[in-house]
Amino acid sequence: MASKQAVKSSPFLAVALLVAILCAAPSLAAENLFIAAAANFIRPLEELAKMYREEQGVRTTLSFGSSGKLYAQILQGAPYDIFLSADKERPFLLYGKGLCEPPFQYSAGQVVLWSRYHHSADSSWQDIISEQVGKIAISNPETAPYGKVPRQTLHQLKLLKELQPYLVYGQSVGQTFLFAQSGAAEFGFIALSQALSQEGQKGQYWPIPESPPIEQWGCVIVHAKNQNLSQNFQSYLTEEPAQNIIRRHGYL
Amino acid sequence: MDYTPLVLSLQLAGITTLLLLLVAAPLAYILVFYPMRGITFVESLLGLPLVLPPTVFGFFLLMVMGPEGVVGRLHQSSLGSPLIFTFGSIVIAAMLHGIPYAVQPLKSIFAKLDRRLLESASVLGCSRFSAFFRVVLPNSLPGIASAAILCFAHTMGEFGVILMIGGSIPGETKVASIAVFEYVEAMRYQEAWQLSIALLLVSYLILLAVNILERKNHAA
Repeated sequence: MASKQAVKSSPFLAVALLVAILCAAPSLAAENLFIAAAANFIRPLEELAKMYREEQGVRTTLSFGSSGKLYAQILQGAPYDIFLSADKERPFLLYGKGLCEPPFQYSAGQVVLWSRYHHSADSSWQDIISEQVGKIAISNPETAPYGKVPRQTLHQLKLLKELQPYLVYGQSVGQTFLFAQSGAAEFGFIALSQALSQEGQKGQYWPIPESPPIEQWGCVIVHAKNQNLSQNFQSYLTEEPAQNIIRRHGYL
Repeated sequence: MDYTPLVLSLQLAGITTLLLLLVAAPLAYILVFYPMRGITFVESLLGLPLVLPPTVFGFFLLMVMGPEGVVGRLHQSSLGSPLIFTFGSIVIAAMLHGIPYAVQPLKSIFAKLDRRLLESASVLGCSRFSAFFRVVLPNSLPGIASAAILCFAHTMGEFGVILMIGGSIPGETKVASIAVFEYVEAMRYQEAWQLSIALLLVSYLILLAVNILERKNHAA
Protein backbone atom coordinates (compact mmCIF):
# COMPACT_ATOMS: atom_id res chain seq x y z
CA MET A 1 0.00 0.00 0.00
CA ALA A 2 2.74 2.37 0.99
CA SER A 3 4.65 1.73 -2.21
CA LYS A 4 1.54 2.36 -4.27
CA GLN A 5 1.11 5.73 -2.63
CA ALA A 6 4.70 6.61 -3.38
CA VAL A 7 4.16 5.85 -7.03
CA LYS A 8 1.00 7.94 -7.09
CA SER A 9 2.54 10.95 -5.46
CA SER A 10 5.64 11.10 -7.63
CA PRO A 11 3.98 12.84 -10.61
CA PHE A 12 2.60 15.47 -8.23
CA LEU A 13 6.06 15.97 -6.86
CA ALA A 14 7.46 16.39 -10.33
CA VAL A 15 4.79 18.92 -11.27
CA ALA A 16 5.27 20.83 -8.04
CA LEU A 17 9.00 20.95 -8.66
CA LEU A 18 8.47 22.15 -12.21
CA VAL A 19 6.12 24.90 -11.06
CA ALA A 20 8.63 25.95 -8.44
CA ILE A 21 11.40 26.14 -11.02
CA LEU A 22 9.26 28.09 -13.47
CA CYS A 23 8.24 30.56 -10.79
CA ALA A 24 11.84 30.98 -9.67
CA ALA A 25 13.17 31.56 -13.17
CA PRO A 26 12.03 35.19 -13.69
CA SER A 27 13.56 36.37 -10.45
CA LEU A 28 16.86 34.80 -11.48
CA ALA A 29 16.68 36.50 -14.83
CA ALA A 30 16.07 39.96 -13.39
CA GLU A 31 19.74 40.85 -13.09
CA ASN A 32 20.67 39.23 -16.34
CA LEU A 33 21.82 40.98 -19.48
CA PHE A 34 21.19 39.29 -22.82
CA ILE A 35 23.84 40.25 -25.38
CA ALA A 36 23.84 39.26 -29.05
CA ALA A 37 27.23 39.74 -30.66
CA ALA A 38 28.98 39.20 -33.98
CA ALA A 39 31.01 35.97 -34.12
CA ASN A 40 34.38 37.72 -34.40
CA PHE A 41 33.90 39.29 -30.95
CA ILE A 42 33.52 36.03 -29.00
CA ARG A 43 36.85 36.05 -27.22
CA PRO A 44 36.99 39.63 -25.99
CA LEU A 45 33.32 39.58 -25.02
CA GLU A 46 33.65 36.41 -22.97
CA GLU A 47 36.49 37.99 -21.05
CA LEU A 48 34.60 41.26 -20.62
CA ALA A 49 31.45 39.48 -19.48
CA LYS A 50 33.40 37.62 -16.84
CA MET A 51 35.00 40.84 -15.60
CA TYR A 52 31.69 42.68 -15.64
CA ARG A 53 30.13 39.96 -13.53
CA GLU A 54 32.97 40.06 -11.02
CA GLU A 55 32.95 43.85 -10.76
CA GLN A 56 29.26 44.67 -11.02
CA GLY A 57 27.62 41.39 -10.02
CA VAL A 58 25.55 41.24 -13.18
CA ARG A 59 25.21 38.01 -15.12
CA THR A 60 25.25 38.05 -18.90
CA THR A 61 23.91 35.62 -21.44
CA LEU A 62 25.85 35.72 -24.69
CA SER A 63 24.55 34.76 -28.09
CA PHE A 64 26.83 34.75 -31.14
CA GLY A 65 26.16 34.66 -34.86
CA SER A 66 26.69 36.64 -38.02
CA SER A 67 25.53 40.24 -37.80
CA GLY A 68 22.97 39.56 -40.51
CA LYS A 69 21.29 36.73 -38.64
CA LEU A 70 21.19 38.59 -35.33
CA TYR A 71 19.77 41.64 -37.09
CA ALA A 72 16.98 39.55 -38.65
CA GLN A 73 16.22 38.03 -35.26
CA ILE A 74 15.97 41.46 -33.61
CA LEU A 75 13.59 42.61 -36.36
CA GLN A 76 11.41 39.67 -35.35
CA GLY A 77 11.49 40.65 -31.70
CA ALA A 78 14.31 38.52 -30.30
CA PRO A 79 14.66 39.23 -26.58
CA TYR A 80 18.18 40.71 -26.67
CA ASP A 81 19.11 43.70 -24.52
CA ILE A 82 22.21 44.68 -26.44
CA PHE A 83 23.28 44.09 -30.03
CA LEU A 84 26.99 44.20 -30.87
CA SER A 85 27.24 44.17 -34.65
CA ALA A 86 30.35 43.73 -36.76
CA ASP A 87 29.36 46.72 -38.87
CA LYS A 88 27.98 50.21 -38.68
CA GLU A 89 25.13 49.71 -41.09
CA ARG A 90 22.88 47.33 -39.16
CA PRO A 91 22.69 49.17 -35.80
CA PHE A 92 21.77 52.34 -37.70
CA LEU A 93 19.13 50.45 -39.69
CA LEU A 94 17.61 49.32 -36.39
CA TYR A 95 17.83 52.89 -35.10
CA GLY A 96 16.02 54.10 -38.20
CA LYS A 97 13.22 51.67 -37.45
CA GLY A 98 13.02 52.90 -33.86
CA LEU A 99 14.09 49.55 -32.46
CA CYS A 100 17.17 50.73 -30.60
CA GLU A 101 18.80 53.64 -28.79
CA PRO A 102 21.45 55.71 -30.64
CA PRO A 103 24.23 53.33 -31.76
CA PHE A 104 27.76 53.56 -30.36
CA GLN A 105 31.11 52.35 -31.67
CA TYR A 106 32.83 49.82 -29.42
CA SER A 107 35.77 48.62 -31.51
CA ALA A 108 37.35 48.44 -34.93
CA GLY A 109 38.59 45.13 -36.25
CA GLN A 110 41.18 44.30 -38.85
CA VAL A 111 41.05 41.62 -41.47
CA VAL A 112 44.12 39.49 -42.14
CA LEU A 113 45.07 36.63 -44.45
CA TRP A 114 45.74 33.41 -42.54
CA SER A 115 47.01 29.94 -43.39
CA ARG A 116 47.87 26.85 -41.40
CA TYR A 117 50.49 25.98 -44.02
CA HIS A 118 53.97 27.39 -44.03
CA HIS A 119 54.71 30.22 -46.46
CA SER A 120 57.48 32.79 -46.65
CA ALA A 121 56.91 35.22 -43.80
CA ASP A 122 58.67 38.09 -45.58
CA SER A 123 56.36 38.20 -48.57
CA SER A 124 53.32 40.44 -48.72
CA TRP A 125 49.83 38.95 -48.62
CA GLN A 126 49.43 39.71 -52.32
CA ASP A 127 52.51 37.68 -53.27
CA ILE A 128 51.41 34.85 -51.01
CA ILE A 129 47.86 34.68 -52.30
CA SER A 130 48.87 34.82 -55.95
CA GLU A 131 50.84 31.61 -55.40
CA GLN A 132 47.83 29.78 -53.98
CA VAL A 133 46.92 26.36 -55.30
CA GLY A 134 43.96 25.54 -53.04
CA LYS A 135 40.75 27.23 -51.98
CA ILE A 136 40.51 30.59 -50.25
CA ALA A 137 37.90 30.87 -47.50
CA ILE A 138 36.09 34.19 -47.09
CA SER A 139 32.99 35.11 -45.10
CA ASN A 140 29.83 35.73 -47.08
CA PRO A 141 30.38 39.33 -48.28
CA GLU A 142 26.67 40.09 -48.15
CA THR A 143 26.20 39.18 -44.53
CA ALA A 144 29.57 39.49 -42.87
CA PRO A 145 31.66 42.69 -42.86
CA TYR A 146 34.76 40.52 -42.50
CA GLY A 147 33.91 39.14 -45.93
CA LYS A 148 32.78 42.39 -47.50
CA VAL A 149 35.97 44.33 -46.79
CA PRO A 150 38.54 41.83 -48.16
CA ARG A 151 36.34 41.26 -51.19
CA GLN A 152 36.35 44.99 -51.91
CA THR A 153 40.11 45.03 -51.51
CA LEU A 154 40.53 42.13 -53.94
CA HIS A 155 38.26 43.97 -56.35
CA GLN A 156 40.19 47.24 -56.08
CA LEU A 157 43.50 45.47 -56.63
CA LYS A 158 42.00 43.66 -59.65
CA LEU A 159 42.67 40.27 -58.06
CA LEU A 160 39.05 39.27 -57.66
CA LYS A 161 38.45 37.97 -61.17
CA GLU A 162 41.48 35.74 -61.04
CA LEU A 163 40.77 34.40 -57.55
CA GLN A 164 36.97 34.15 -57.75
CA PRO A 165 36.96 30.45 -58.79
CA TYR A 166 38.91 29.58 -55.65
CA LEU A 167 36.68 31.35 -53.15
CA VAL A 168 34.56 29.34 -50.73
CA TYR A 169 32.15 31.05 -48.40
CA GLY A 170 31.80 30.74 -44.65
CA GLN A 171 28.54 31.84 -43.04
CA SER A 172 30.41 33.76 -40.38
CA VAL A 173 34.03 34.58 -39.75
CA GLY A 174 34.00 31.66 -37.30
CA GLN A 175 33.18 29.16 -40.04
CA THR A 176 35.69 30.80 -42.37
CA PHE A 177 38.34 30.18 -39.75
CA LEU A 178 37.26 26.54 -39.44
CA PHE A 179 37.64 26.06 -43.20
CA ALA A 180 41.20 27.43 -43.10
CA GLN A 181 42.12 25.82 -39.80
CA SER A 182 41.05 22.34 -40.94
CA GLY A 183 43.07 22.73 -44.11
CA ALA A 184 39.94 22.41 -46.25
CA ALA A 185 40.91 25.83 -47.59
CA GLU A 186 44.54 26.86 -48.06
CA PHE A 187 43.90 30.43 -46.96
CA GLY A 188 41.27 32.31 -45.06
CA PHE A 189 40.40 35.98 -44.67
CA ILE A 190 39.79 36.19 -40.94
CA ALA A 191 39.78 38.71 -38.10
CA LEU A 192 43.11 39.63 -36.53
CA SER A 193 41.59 38.68 -33.19
CA GLN A 194 41.19 35.12 -34.46
CA ALA A 195 44.77 35.03 -35.74
CA LEU A 196 45.96 36.02 -32.25
CA SER A 197 43.92 33.30 -30.55
CA GLN A 198 45.44 30.05 -29.36
CA GLU A 199 44.24 28.19 -32.45
CA GLY A 200 45.23 31.07 -34.72
CA GLN A 201 48.78 31.09 -33.45
CA LYS A 202 49.27 27.61 -34.87
CA GLY A 203 49.28 29.19 -38.32
CA GLN A 204 50.69 32.26 -39.99
CA TYR A 205 49.01 35.55 -40.80
CA TRP A 206 49.69 38.50 -43.09
CA PRO A 207 48.27 41.98 -42.52
CA ILE A 208 46.27 43.56 -45.32
CA PRO A 209 47.17 47.27 -45.20
CA GLU A 210 44.89 48.00 -48.17
CA SER A 211 41.79 46.96 -46.22
CA PRO A 212 40.26 49.69 -44.06
CA PRO A 213 39.53 48.89 -40.41
CA ILE A 214 36.10 47.43 -39.80
CA GLU A 215 34.13 49.71 -37.50
CA GLN A 216 32.04 47.69 -35.10
CA TRP A 217 28.97 49.41 -33.69
CA GLY A 218 26.44 48.31 -31.17
CA CYS A 219 23.16 49.49 -29.69
CA VAL A 220 20.80 49.01 -26.77
CA ILE A 221 17.53 47.50 -27.90
CA VAL A 222 14.50 49.65 -27.09
CA HIS A 223 12.44 46.85 -25.57
CA ALA A 224 15.37 45.75 -23.35
CA LYS A 225 14.06 44.39 -20.07
CA ASN A 226 16.42 46.51 -18.08
CA GLN A 227 17.31 49.82 -19.74
CA ASN A 228 19.50 51.10 -16.90
CA LEU A 229 21.57 47.96 -16.83
CA SER A 230 21.95 48.00 -20.60
CA GLN A 231 23.06 51.65 -20.61
CA ASN A 232 25.49 50.81 -17.84
CA PHE A 233 27.03 48.03 -19.91
CA GLN A 234 27.27 50.35 -22.90
CA SER A 235 29.40 52.84 -20.97
CA TYR A 236 31.39 50.01 -19.40
CA LEU A 237 32.21 48.72 -22.87
CA THR A 238 33.37 52.08 -24.19
CA GLU A 239 35.51 53.08 -21.21
CA GLU A 240 39.26 52.58 -20.86
CA PRO A 241 39.61 49.28 -18.91
CA ALA A 242 37.31 47.43 -21.28
CA GLN A 243 38.85 49.11 -24.32
CA ASN A 244 42.29 47.90 -23.16
CA ILE A 245 41.06 44.32 -23.17
CA ILE A 246 39.47 44.78 -26.56
CA ARG A 247 42.74 46.15 -28.00
CA ARG A 248 44.70 43.26 -26.55
CA HIS A 249 42.54 40.93 -28.63
CA GLY A 250 43.66 42.55 -31.86
CA TYR A 251 41.20 45.41 -32.28
CA LEU A 252 42.03 49.07 -32.84
CA MET B 1 15.35 35.87 -59.45
CA ASP B 2 18.06 33.23 -59.61
CA TYR B 3 16.70 29.68 -59.54
CA THR B 4 20.09 27.95 -59.83
CA PRO B 5 20.02 26.89 -56.15
CA LEU B 6 16.65 25.22 -56.63
CA VAL B 7 17.86 23.34 -59.71
CA LEU B 8 20.97 22.34 -57.78
CA SER B 9 18.83 21.01 -54.93
CA LEU B 10 16.78 18.93 -57.36
CA GLN B 11 19.92 17.58 -59.01
CA LEU B 12 21.46 16.76 -55.66
CA ALA B 13 18.30 15.01 -54.44
CA GLY B 14 17.89 13.04 -57.69
CA ILE B 15 21.48 11.85 -57.93
CA THR B 16 21.72 11.10 -54.22
CA THR B 17 18.50 9.06 -54.29
CA LEU B 18 19.61 7.02 -57.28
CA LEU B 19 23.06 6.23 -55.93
CA LEU B 20 21.77 5.63 -52.44
CA LEU B 21 19.22 3.05 -53.60
CA LEU B 22 21.96 1.18 -55.45
CA VAL B 23 23.96 1.00 -52.24
CA ALA B 24 21.11 0.52 -49.79
CA ALA B 25 19.27 -2.31 -51.58
CA PRO B 26 22.10 -4.89 -51.33
CA LEU B 27 22.87 -3.62 -47.84
CA ALA B 28 19.30 -4.13 -46.64
CA TYR B 29 19.22 -7.50 -48.41
CA ILE B 30 22.27 -8.71 -46.52
CA LEU B 31 20.93 -7.35 -43.24
CA VAL B 32 17.64 -9.21 -43.62
CA PHE B 33 18.62 -12.47 -45.29
CA TYR B 34 22.18 -13.05 -44.12
CA PRO B 35 22.32 -11.74 -40.56
CA MET B 36 25.89 -12.51 -39.61
CA ARG B 37 27.44 -12.38 -36.19
CA GLY B 38 27.83 -8.84 -34.91
CA ILE B 39 25.37 -7.44 -37.45
CA THR B 40 23.74 -5.42 -34.67
CA PHE B 41 26.89 -3.33 -34.47
CA VAL B 42 26.67 -2.55 -38.18
CA GLU B 43 22.96 -1.75 -37.97
CA SER B 44 23.50 0.65 -35.09
CA LEU B 45 26.26 2.35 -37.06
CA LEU B 46 23.96 2.76 -40.07
CA GLY B 47 21.32 4.39 -37.86
CA LEU B 48 23.71 7.03 -36.53
CA PRO B 49 22.73 9.72 -39.07
CA LEU B 50 19.24 9.72 -37.55
CA VAL B 51 20.60 10.58 -34.14
CA LEU B 52 23.65 12.75 -34.77
CA PRO B 53 23.04 16.48 -35.13
CA PRO B 54 23.81 17.63 -38.69
CA THR B 55 26.45 19.98 -37.32
CA VAL B 56 28.32 17.08 -35.72
CA PHE B 57 27.93 15.01 -38.85
CA GLY B 58 29.13 17.90 -41.00
CA PHE B 59 32.06 18.61 -38.74
CA PHE B 60 33.25 15.00 -39.01
CA LEU B 61 32.83 15.05 -42.78
CA LEU B 62 34.77 18.30 -43.11
CA MET B 63 37.65 16.78 -41.19
CA VAL B 64 37.57 13.48 -43.12
CA MET B 65 37.03 14.89 -46.63
CA GLY B 66 39.40 17.86 -46.32
CA PRO B 67 42.93 17.60 -47.75
CA GLU B 68 44.21 16.63 -44.28
CA GLY B 69 41.58 13.90 -43.84
CA VAL B 70 41.81 10.25 -44.88
CA VAL B 71 39.21 10.40 -47.64
CA GLY B 72 40.30 13.80 -48.92
CA ARG B 73 43.91 12.68 -49.18
CA LEU B 74 42.93 9.48 -50.98
CA HIS B 75 40.85 11.45 -53.48
CA GLN B 76 43.64 13.94 -54.06
CA SER B 77 46.27 11.28 -54.69
CA SER B 78 44.11 9.12 -56.93
CA LEU B 79 42.22 11.75 -58.93
CA GLY B 80 44.56 14.69 -58.56
CA SER B 81 41.93 17.16 -57.37
CA PRO B 82 40.59 18.04 -53.92
CA LEU B 83 37.24 16.54 -52.91
CA ILE B 84 35.92 19.10 -50.46
CA PHE B 85 33.83 22.07 -51.73
CA THR B 86 32.69 20.19 -54.85
CA PHE B 87 29.26 18.94 -55.91
CA GLY B 88 30.60 15.41 -55.47
CA SER B 89 31.41 16.09 -51.84
CA ILE B 90 27.85 17.16 -51.01
CA VAL B 91 26.48 14.12 -52.87
CA ILE B 92 28.64 11.89 -50.65
CA ALA B 93 27.54 13.82 -47.56
CA ALA B 94 23.86 13.58 -48.51
CA MET B 95 24.21 9.87 -49.24
CA LEU B 96 25.82 9.13 -45.89
CA HIS B 97 23.23 11.26 -44.12
CA GLY B 98 20.41 9.54 -46.02
CA ILE B 99 21.44 5.90 -45.46
CA PRO B 100 18.88 5.11 -42.71
CA TYR B 101 16.08 6.69 -44.73
CA ALA B 102 16.82 4.24 -47.56
CA VAL B 103 17.76 1.16 -45.57
CA GLN B 104 14.83 1.14 -43.13
CA PRO B 105 11.93 0.92 -45.65
CA LEU B 106 13.87 -1.60 -47.74
CA LYS B 107 14.58 -3.72 -44.71
CA SER B 108 10.96 -3.82 -43.64
CA ILE B 109 9.70 -4.75 -47.10
CA PHE B 110 12.38 -7.43 -47.49
CA ALA B 111 11.45 -8.85 -44.09
CA LYS B 112 7.83 -9.14 -45.20
CA LEU B 113 8.73 -11.07 -48.37
CA ASP B 114 7.29 -14.57 -48.57
CA ARG B 115 10.25 -16.84 -47.95
CA ARG B 116 8.59 -19.59 -49.96
CA LEU B 117 9.10 -17.49 -53.08
CA LEU B 118 12.82 -17.56 -52.49
CA GLU B 119 12.76 -21.25 -51.73
CA SER B 120 10.90 -21.93 -54.97
CA ALA B 121 13.42 -19.81 -56.84
CA SER B 122 16.22 -21.79 -55.31
CA VAL B 123 14.55 -25.11 -56.17
CA LEU B 124 14.04 -23.92 -59.72
CA GLY B 125 17.78 -23.34 -60.02
CA CYS B 126 17.98 -19.62 -59.40
CA SER B 127 21.26 -18.46 -57.83
CA ARG B 128 21.16 -16.15 -54.80
CA PHE B 129 22.48 -13.35 -56.95
CA SER B 130 19.87 -13.64 -59.67
CA ALA B 131 17.15 -14.31 -57.10
CA PHE B 132 17.86 -10.83 -55.72
CA PHE B 133 17.17 -9.26 -59.10
CA ARG B 134 14.42 -11.58 -60.34
CA VAL B 135 12.47 -12.28 -57.17
CA VAL B 136 13.33 -9.91 -54.35
CA LEU B 137 13.41 -6.58 -56.21
CA PRO B 138 10.24 -7.02 -58.33
CA ASN B 139 8.30 -8.00 -55.21
CA SER B 140 9.58 -5.04 -53.22
CA LEU B 141 8.59 -2.16 -55.47
CA PRO B 142 6.44 -0.35 -52.88
CA GLY B 143 9.32 -0.42 -50.38
CA ILE B 144 11.76 0.79 -53.00
CA ALA B 145 9.38 3.61 -53.91
CA SER B 146 8.98 4.74 -50.32
CA ALA B 147 12.74 4.55 -49.76
CA ALA B 148 13.24 6.71 -52.84
CA ILE B 149 10.68 9.26 -51.69
CA LEU B 150 12.17 9.49 -48.21
CA CYS B 151 15.69 9.91 -49.61
CA PHE B 152 14.61 12.52 -52.11
CA ALA B 153 12.62 14.48 -49.55
CA HIS B 154 15.36 14.28 -46.94
CA THR B 155 17.99 15.47 -49.40
CA MET B 156 15.82 18.36 -50.63
CA GLY B 157 15.63 19.47 -47.02
CA GLU B 158 19.30 18.91 -46.30
CA PHE B 159 20.75 21.98 -44.63
CA GLY B 160 23.05 21.62 -41.64
CA VAL B 161 25.53 19.20 -43.15
CA ILE B 162 25.86 21.18 -46.39
CA LEU B 163 26.16 24.39 -44.42
CA MET B 164 29.12 22.87 -42.59
CA ILE B 165 31.00 21.46 -45.59
CA GLY B 166 29.68 23.13 -48.75
CA GLY B 167 31.31 26.53 -48.71
CA SER B 168 28.27 27.99 -50.51
CA ILE B 169 29.73 28.01 -54.02
CA PRO B 170 27.11 29.17 -56.57
CA GLY B 171 26.16 26.39 -58.99
CA GLU B 172 28.26 23.87 -57.09
CA THR B 173 27.29 23.62 -53.42
CA LYS B 174 24.87 26.52 -52.85
CA VAL B 175 21.59 24.59 -52.68
CA ALA B 176 18.15 26.12 -52.14
CA SER B 177 18.11 25.79 -48.35
CA ILE B 178 21.48 27.55 -48.08
CA ALA B 179 20.42 30.26 -50.53
CA VAL B 180 17.29 31.04 -48.49
CA PHE B 181 19.38 31.20 -45.32
CA GLU B 182 21.79 33.66 -46.98
CA TYR B 183 19.00 35.82 -48.40
CA VAL B 184 17.56 36.17 -44.90
CA GLU B 185 20.94 37.06 -43.45
CA ALA B 186 21.56 39.59 -46.20
CA MET B 187 18.16 41.19 -45.49
CA ARG B 188 17.00 40.29 -49.00
CA TYR B 189 13.64 39.13 -47.71
CA GLN B 190 11.81 39.39 -51.02
CA GLU B 191 14.16 36.93 -52.68
CA ALA B 192 13.97 34.70 -49.61
CA TRP B 193 10.18 34.68 -50.03
CA GLN B 194 10.34 33.90 -53.74
CA LEU B 195 12.77 31.03 -53.40
CA SER B 196 10.94 29.64 -50.37
CA ILE B 197 7.62 29.66 -52.18
CA ALA B 198 9.22 28.01 -55.20
CA LEU B 199 10.71 25.34 -52.95
CA LEU B 200 7.35 24.83 -51.29
CA LEU B 201 5.56 24.43 -54.62
CA VAL B 202 8.12 22.02 -56.04
CA SER B 203 8.08 19.92 -52.87
CA TYR B 204 4.29 19.84 -52.83
CA LEU B 205 4.05 18.86 -56.49
CA ILE B 206 6.51 16.01 -55.97
CA LEU B 207 4.55 14.67 -53.01
CA LEU B 208 1.29 15.06 -54.90
CA ALA B 209 2.64 13.12 -57.87
CA VAL B 210 3.89 10.39 -55.59
CA ASN B 211 0.55 10.09 -53.80
CA ILE B 212 -1.39 9.98 -57.06
CA LEU B 213 0.90 7.21 -58.33
CA GLU B 214 0.43 5.32 -55.10
CA ARG B 215 -3.36 5.58 -55.36
CA LYS B 216 -3.22 4.24 -58.90
CA ASN B 217 -1.02 1.36 -57.80
CA HIS B 218 -3.42 0.39 -55.07
CA ALA B 219 -6.41 0.60 -57.40
CA ALA B 220 -4.71 -1.58 -60.02
